[in-house]
Amino acid sequence: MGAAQGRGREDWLLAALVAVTAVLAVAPVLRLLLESAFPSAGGGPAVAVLSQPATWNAARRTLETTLGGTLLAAAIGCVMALLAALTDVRARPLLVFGFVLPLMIPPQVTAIAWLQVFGPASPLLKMLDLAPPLGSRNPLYSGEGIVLLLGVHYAPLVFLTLRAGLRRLPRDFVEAALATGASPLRVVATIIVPIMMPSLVAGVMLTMVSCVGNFGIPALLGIPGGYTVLTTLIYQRLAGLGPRVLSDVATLSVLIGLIVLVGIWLQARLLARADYRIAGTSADPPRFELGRWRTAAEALAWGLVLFTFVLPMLAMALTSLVPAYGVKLTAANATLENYRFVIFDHGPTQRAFVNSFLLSAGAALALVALSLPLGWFMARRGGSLLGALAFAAELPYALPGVVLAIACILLFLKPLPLIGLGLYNTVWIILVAYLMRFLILVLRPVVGAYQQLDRSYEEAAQMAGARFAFRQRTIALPMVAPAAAAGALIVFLTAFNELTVSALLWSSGAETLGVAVFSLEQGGDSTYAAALAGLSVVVTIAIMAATSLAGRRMPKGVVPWRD
Amino acid sequence: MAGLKLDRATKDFGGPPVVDGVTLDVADGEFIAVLGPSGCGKTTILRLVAGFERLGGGTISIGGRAMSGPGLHVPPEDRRVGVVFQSYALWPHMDVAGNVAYPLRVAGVADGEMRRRVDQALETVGLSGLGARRPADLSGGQRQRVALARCLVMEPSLVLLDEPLANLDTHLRGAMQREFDEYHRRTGTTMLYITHDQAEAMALADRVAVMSQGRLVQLAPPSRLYREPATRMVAEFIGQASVLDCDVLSATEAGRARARVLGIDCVLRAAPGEAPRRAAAACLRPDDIGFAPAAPGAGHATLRRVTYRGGSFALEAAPDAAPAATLRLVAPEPFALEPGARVSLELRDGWIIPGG
Repeated sequence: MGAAQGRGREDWLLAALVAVTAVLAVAPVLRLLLESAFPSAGGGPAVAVLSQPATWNAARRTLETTLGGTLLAAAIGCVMALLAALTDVRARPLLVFGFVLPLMIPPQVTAIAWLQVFGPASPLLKMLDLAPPLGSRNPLYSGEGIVLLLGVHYAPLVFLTLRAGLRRLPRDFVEAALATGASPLRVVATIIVPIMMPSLVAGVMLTMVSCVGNFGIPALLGIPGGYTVLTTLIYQRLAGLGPRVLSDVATLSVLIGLIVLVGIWLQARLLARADYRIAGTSADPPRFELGRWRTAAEALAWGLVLFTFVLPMLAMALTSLVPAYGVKLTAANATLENYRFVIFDHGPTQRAFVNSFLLSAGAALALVALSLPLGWFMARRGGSLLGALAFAAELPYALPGVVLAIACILLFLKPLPLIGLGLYNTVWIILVAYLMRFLILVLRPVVGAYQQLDRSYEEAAQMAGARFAFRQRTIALPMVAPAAAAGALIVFLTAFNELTVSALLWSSGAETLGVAVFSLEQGGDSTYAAALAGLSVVVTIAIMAATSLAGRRMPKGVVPWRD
Repeated sequence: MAGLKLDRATKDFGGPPVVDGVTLDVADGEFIAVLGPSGCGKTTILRLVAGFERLGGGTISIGGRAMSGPGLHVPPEDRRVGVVFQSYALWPHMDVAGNVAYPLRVAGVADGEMRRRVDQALETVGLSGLGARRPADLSGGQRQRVALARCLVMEPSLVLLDEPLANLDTHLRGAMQREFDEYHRRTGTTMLYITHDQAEAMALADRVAVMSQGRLVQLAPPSRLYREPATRMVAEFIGQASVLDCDVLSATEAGRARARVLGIDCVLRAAPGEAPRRAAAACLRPDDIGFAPAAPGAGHATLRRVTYRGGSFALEAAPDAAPAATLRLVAPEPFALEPGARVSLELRDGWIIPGG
């Protein structure tokens, strides 16, 4: 085989990879923009949708809940990050794990769990005989309820970004300031806070973007309460009126997309202005000794974990054991009947388990297969086309799931040209949507791993006479495999519990776990919903724990909830 | 036969050339050190020869076969050139034997034969019995030996070494130097050794190629490089030197020419074809300058620095005739004078720098 031919095969492979990635990353965004510019299916022009009061009402409520939720998340996240990263509180790893857990629990489960904390049927309140009378309204069915849950749900996001920044802060910076005679509080105010601003801004912006796109929380809390935000407005329109309102909801999607893009742009601007390259020698972050305040700080930290995780999970667990909704739970009447029903008797739930498992495992594997070679070309060859593609791959994940779902319906409503294959109303449209949405979750760690991988490893193989395919198989792939595996696990976990995309794309027989939980709760079967949600939480935590154990052998930063 | 020939090799990365018209002819079996400060383009030379970079202009041929040139680029995997990387580049997911066996695996060598040759290579570098270890469990020197064994097992006719000792402790360097020397002697392989350490280059190489800003400045055996530097840069880069302005007063005759340095007439070594000229430069090594009784023929100077070197003192002095210049010389122990003392010196020998 000649040299030119070898290079030629590489180029063919690259062309194929670029084509697939372009379809996954670029097509949905383009299709959506096209639809709002030139509406195809029924509906009036974009102006008509934008002039409806319902649209602006929902947009205003989206902004209100987003701002409220972000402020709450930032407050809780900052306190936790400072305590966990800068002080000598005990049992720090456990604290971090406990606090980050809610992030891995899907929003609809968070919502179901919190609904069991308040409200007339709350098993906790009933045990304390504090429950409001039956028939009274759950106070969480309101804008304030949505703000509370968004804040609690996304606090770990602020926590994680800020803590990551704090851990990169070299001890030297703090010690240099202390050596000049500054008091610890002054050091925090004049050194730590300014240097941490970029991390904080990043975390806050990420939270805002997530709040705007969140569907599970406003759907379960807002729809019963008549409090509609943009994501739920789209869902209700489409669920109620069907594909003929596609153009209208496409316009609404673009509106959400724009809000999110403004957020991302703002974040980039703010970060660009305060770029402190941290060049320090010592790896250890600074730690302040709290002395006699330590116990109080620990109480505060564990109190927050109790409030954000233990309390709602406990309420949900108790509800799942209640024989009938609204009955007071006692040791005598506790039952596993709800679990038996969702596991063995309820057809849609069983299908949902199988579907979600196959969809998330299939998406994870397919994305690994795509990302491994694509990531190599991105890291090794670079170039503006691949750079643009890497950016484009971020979009379907950064945009709210509802937006991506609408784009998928637009793309696949009619059978595909040429091959005449119809994806709409099948399980395959969900798979394609997952591939689009979660591509970046595998691609990012894989590209990162290739970039960290010294070129000389592959050059040494070249020197030994190994050709492209053999080199990839024996040298490059084994060395980035841990990063790919970690990315695949995250995809699996996220997709397994996913609701936002599948809520708009599912069809009978193609239910996902998220849809099943959501439908049970919406149908008033809160005890079944609690049991099913409880099962999914157990599965999630089990996989996380297993990953943490395996994560010891993985490169730093690959497993997000580990250091 | 695996000589190496670079003909006006040029390379840039979108800026000024990193390798600028380098012509180098390495004989079969020769050990060449490429020496220069960091950023002089020496590593790029290695990467061009190995084929990791595409040549911008000129040609490179190995063993008489053209490898890089206009419209030609033989990929590294087809060059059969051994490379020892600065980072060693041992694959962490394979054990030592797996690393060494890799080139044989690529070549499709049968299992038994492969095991025999791997054992042999490990034995040659003194690592018998360590085949099952992971690279991470080895010391720096052992890793270097594994890298060498991986290279050796390929039986390449040309070996490139990229600052192979840069990451080793001082005491290990001597041992590894002997290892490379031994390997070269035994196999007669042509070697191109990249380094910024002149002592290493002088100790190992048949000829040393000094590079500066992408250009090959001088290619010569070590002692000639030291005694007859081609330019001011080489004179100052290699060893200790006092580079002084001088006027050449006569043409070269039997390897010497008359010159005036610091106002003193003397006879210095000179290149053939040297002719009377002004504003030339002379390179004086520390041994070329000695103390003299105060006499009309001697130069007067003021001591500026005295540094103890163990058994001797390194001195720096400012001559009266050119106070901005620095004379570097050595005085044996004991030596009682302090900085500021007045001394008279004589110039015993020196070299008129041809380009200077």
